[in-house]
Amino acid sequence: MSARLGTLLLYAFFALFLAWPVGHVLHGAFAAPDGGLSLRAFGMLARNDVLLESIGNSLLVAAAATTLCTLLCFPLAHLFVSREFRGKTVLQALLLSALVLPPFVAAIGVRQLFARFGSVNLALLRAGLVDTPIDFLGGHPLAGVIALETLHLYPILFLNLAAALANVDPSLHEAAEAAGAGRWTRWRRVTLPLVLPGWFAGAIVVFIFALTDVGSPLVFDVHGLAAVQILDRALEGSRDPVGYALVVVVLLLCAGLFLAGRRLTAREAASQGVKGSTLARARPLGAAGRWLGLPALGLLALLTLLPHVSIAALAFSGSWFFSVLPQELTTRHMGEVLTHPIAYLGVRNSLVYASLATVIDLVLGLSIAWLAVRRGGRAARGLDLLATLPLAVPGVVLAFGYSGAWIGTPLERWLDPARGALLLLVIGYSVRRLPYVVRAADAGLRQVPVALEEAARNLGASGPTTLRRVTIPLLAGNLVAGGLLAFSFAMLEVSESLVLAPVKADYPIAKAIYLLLGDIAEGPQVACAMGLIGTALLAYSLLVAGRLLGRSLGELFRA
Amino acid sequence: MTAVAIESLAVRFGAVEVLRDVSLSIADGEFFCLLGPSGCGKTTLLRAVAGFVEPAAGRILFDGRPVQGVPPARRDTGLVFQNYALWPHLTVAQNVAFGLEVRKVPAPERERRVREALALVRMEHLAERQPNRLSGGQQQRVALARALVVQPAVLLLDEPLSNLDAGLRVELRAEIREIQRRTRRTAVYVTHDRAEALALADRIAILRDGRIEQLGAPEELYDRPISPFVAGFVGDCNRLFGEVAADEGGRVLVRGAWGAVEARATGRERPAPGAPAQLLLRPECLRLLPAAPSAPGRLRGRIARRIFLGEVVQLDVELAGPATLRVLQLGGERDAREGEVVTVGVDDALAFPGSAG
Repeated sequence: MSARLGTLLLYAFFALFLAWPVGHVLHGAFAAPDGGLSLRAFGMLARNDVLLESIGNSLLVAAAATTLCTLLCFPLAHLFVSREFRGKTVLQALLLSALVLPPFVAAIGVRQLFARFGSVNLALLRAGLVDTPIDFLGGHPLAGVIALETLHLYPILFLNLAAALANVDPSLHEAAEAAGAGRWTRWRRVTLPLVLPGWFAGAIVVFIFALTDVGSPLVFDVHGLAAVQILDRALEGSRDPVGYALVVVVLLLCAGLFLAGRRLTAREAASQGVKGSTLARARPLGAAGRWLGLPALGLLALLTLLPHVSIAALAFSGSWFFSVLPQELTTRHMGEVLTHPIAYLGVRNSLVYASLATVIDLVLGLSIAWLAVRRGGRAARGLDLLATLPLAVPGVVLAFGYSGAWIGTPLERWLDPARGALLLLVIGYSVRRLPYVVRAADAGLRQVPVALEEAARNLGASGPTTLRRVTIPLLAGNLVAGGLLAFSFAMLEVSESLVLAPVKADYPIAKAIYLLLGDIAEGPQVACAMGLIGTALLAYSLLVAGRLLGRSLGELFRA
Repeated sequence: MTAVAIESLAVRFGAVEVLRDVSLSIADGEFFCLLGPSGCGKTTLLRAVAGFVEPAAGRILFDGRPVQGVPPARRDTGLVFQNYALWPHLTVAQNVAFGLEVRKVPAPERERRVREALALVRMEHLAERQPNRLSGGQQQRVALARALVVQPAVLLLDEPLSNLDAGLRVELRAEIREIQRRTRRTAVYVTHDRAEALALADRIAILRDGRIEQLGAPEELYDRPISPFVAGFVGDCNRLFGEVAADEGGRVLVRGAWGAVEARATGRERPAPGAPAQLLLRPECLRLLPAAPSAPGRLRGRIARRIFLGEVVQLDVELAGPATLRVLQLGGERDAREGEVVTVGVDDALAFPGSAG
């Protein structure tokens, strides 16, 4: 297949599965009843207090989570990049473990700990420290969501900031020092301007994640957020124009931020010519760091691990009602993952959906990265942008678009959620997770000299032979890493899973977990067992990806 | 074996014109060098021959057949890359066998030819080794074997020795020349190292700013350069600036404050009487003589610096003008001292139009 034909097919894919559903949403928001264009839906949105408040709440959650992550990550990244101390690797692994617990699974653990009669309240009551339980979650539901999003997302900002700090050429600091600049001035005038693009790239991802996450708000039963409002409408099958307008507002917000981040990141790449190595410059931790920094790190690691521990405890608990700790332990629920009808269905279906989505991602991702790196040109750059755009299109927006985009078209029989979720979920997952594979392949291709492929072509190998014999073997590590991440994240995808699989036989894991949480008997335990397995899978994937990609892992989590 | 012809070739990268109106022909079995400074377009020209660069205009012909539109895989060239481009996931033998495999050469013949190719470059004992466990010189040999094993019509070498140390470069360039003679392949060799080009080539094309400045045999380029650029690129030169005093019998007399020298005018343009001219004097054409009054071809000066370089001694002689001449003295010649007044005898010089400004 020629590069031109491949490019055309890829554009056709994005036109059908990204532009069409987004266009469907835009049409729903801007279409007037008479068929023309209208801003009526936006006017209705402006008069709808509930939705306006939900947008405000979402912005508040996103801004607060991003601010907290920033405050947490600047000292954290500085500590890890420029200081040497015992247990650094273990602590870093513990801190990054937040990434492996999907927020909506983490929320189950937090609920178990901080509910009115959760472990913390029961412990406080038993100790006589309080007379009535504290309403940690009900009193300030948004605070709970903000805390959870912060705890889940700070590793993304940490990875970006640490990479940006490590890339600052040490001689730039030395030049400032030689010019007489003190420590604070050096940080303000040299370090901060240089790491700001890296911070921005990570902060945008954190902001968009927090703005559009539906998992944790749902577990906390918070519905006053824009993403949850969109989800509720999608689940109801509502075609109310105000809903479309809300989706457009969220979409524009995310896309604008994403494109700004991309532009800034490109400028950063162009301006940072010399990369320094800070390995030799990491200094031992001073007294202040030992007495203040390390305990703070320990506390953060404890907070990060708390949901994990709680989930694990729930998954292995025989019963856990009105007691600080589980009353008995059992491995029964782990087995039930494969025997409970809903759990088994979820695992089986998700394995199929995620596997197929990963295969599609590998084919598309490698093709797009190859065209962008090796061919270049406007068409290839456009494809690269389209492939990474799903980072800016929230899952809930895509799910909303997918749920109705093809109704009434010739594709309805294959792409109507009510008739079967397989194709919709496979394509939905693959579009959403494509950026990971494209970026992993892109990073790998940039490290493989083009001469290695030219050498094969020069010796008579055709394009496909060169790809099979030279390019793919040399990119294997990057493709495995990108593929694993795409697979794991697809297994734990929430928004699309909740919206696009209305029929029980099609339920993926996330929907199964969500339903099991409502099953008072032993549903939460089985849900936690599923969450625990998913977490282990994600942890393994990140570990392998980290080994294979090294520093490039951070590149996957930035705008 | 194949003759290569390039006709009015132009290559553009966006708005930048990398090659302009390049025409040359390379004979069957010839060892042809493309020589020039960085950015002159020599690698682009080689890659255009290999098919990796699409010309904006002009033609490339192999044995009279245009090869436009023929993909690199079907051009039948063997390209040796500057960084060798050995596949790190394949062994030495697998690297060499690759081209034969894609040509579907039967296994027994393939193995025999791989063995022969590795023997040719004296690498058969390292056939099972991974490329990253080889030295630079060994990698270069494997790259050469990989290019030769498919018996290409044209062997293309893109600065294959530039990553090696000086001693190994000299050793390997002799080997490359020997292998090319034995296999009788037409070879096009890109380099910016004039010693390499002079030692290897049957003919050399000197490129400058995307054009061929001069094309000819090494001796011709050295003895009869058509511009100061070519003269300076193929060998070290002293430069003196003056005015043409006379033009008789193919030789011009250039006079300056430093004295007068009779020189050959080999350039595209001949310096006219009364016009400013520059003289190029190669160090090996200068001799140190006992002090004597200035005369045409005899320049009086004082030794400003004496630098010991091992096999030769470099003397910087300050002339009137002021001007400085670099004179090389072989070991065994009369020892000169700094500050000594001497006469420099000029055996040969080249004159081109041009002033110091």
